Amino acid sequence: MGSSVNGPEVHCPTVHAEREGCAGEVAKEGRLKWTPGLPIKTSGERRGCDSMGPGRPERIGGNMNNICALIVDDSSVMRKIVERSLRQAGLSIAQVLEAGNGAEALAAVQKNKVDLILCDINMPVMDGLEFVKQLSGVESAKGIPVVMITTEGSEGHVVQALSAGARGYIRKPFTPDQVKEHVLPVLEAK
Amino acid sequence: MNSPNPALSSAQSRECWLPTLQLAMQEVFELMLACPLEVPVELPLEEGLDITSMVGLAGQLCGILTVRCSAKSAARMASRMLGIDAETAGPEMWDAVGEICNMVAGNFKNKITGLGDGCMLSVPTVITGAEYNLHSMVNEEMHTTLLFEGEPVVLSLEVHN
Repeated sequence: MGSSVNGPEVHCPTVHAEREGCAGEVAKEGRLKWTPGLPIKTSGERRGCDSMGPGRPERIGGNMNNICALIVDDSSVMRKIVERSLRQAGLSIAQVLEAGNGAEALAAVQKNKVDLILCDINMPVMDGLEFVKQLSGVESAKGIPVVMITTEGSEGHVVQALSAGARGYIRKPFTPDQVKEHVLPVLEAK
Repeated sequence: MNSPNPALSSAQSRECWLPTLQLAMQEVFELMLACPLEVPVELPLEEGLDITSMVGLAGQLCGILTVRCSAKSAARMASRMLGIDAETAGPEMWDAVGEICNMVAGNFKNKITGLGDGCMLSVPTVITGAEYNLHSMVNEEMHTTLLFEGEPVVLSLEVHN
């Protein structure tokens, strides 16, 4: 496949999600200006999630309260939607960490006390399946439940994800109720 | 993954693809944007559709799935997905349209028997501007137009046999 772009701009939303300004534009030769190693972004209240911090998550009525969730997706729009769905599911979230790929997510779990990971599969740099495999080798990440949220909804992908260590699987498009249905049980079982 | 799949290559089996594509897009808009898409009574003019989102398909089905809409519609989509003011939507609208295209492609392939595991999706790419030519090794093309808040959104699947 070839494309002749004459005038219009070509954007990779994945990159735009992470970088402002020039990143994400494709040069006329078709090369993407990609800058790996982007910083982890955080949102929400900053309490209860730093390593050894005072506000560690508490169990109330079987559910986790004040949890720290790590959302891994190359789309910033999707990360925001997942965060909103978690809140609509009734989870008390103290902090949300965001990562644009598996490599960033691995760095995040090593620096932070994370209670839940929601992870896309198709991502640049390191995909979600590879991330889950590598996560099992991180001592500080033992027992953190991972729920995949992805467009890859085939049985084969589900099996691969669960074999790699994921505890749940949500297909896009999804509703907040589906997020609740898949996330609460894995948190309760943690 | 690239072994021939007779169920995918017969013209008869592809007859259902267009309504399946339409359904895939309608589900994405209903679930993720809380906005049902309407089927136009008459085909609207495809003017000003200067946002194009593309996702490549590779494997047992090779081709490109594209979603085209106006910048105004793209901003409205971002607004609905993120709860932001459409007037202030910037790069978010590219990301939103790209993610919609990605979800439509994934939803579509998951509805076609044999495609779920046999077809991979690329990350989405978004083109802004209408004056461009896209050349792909297409043998078959199907497209449908639906209305999002009264504005046309064109969904196309270009297949390379």
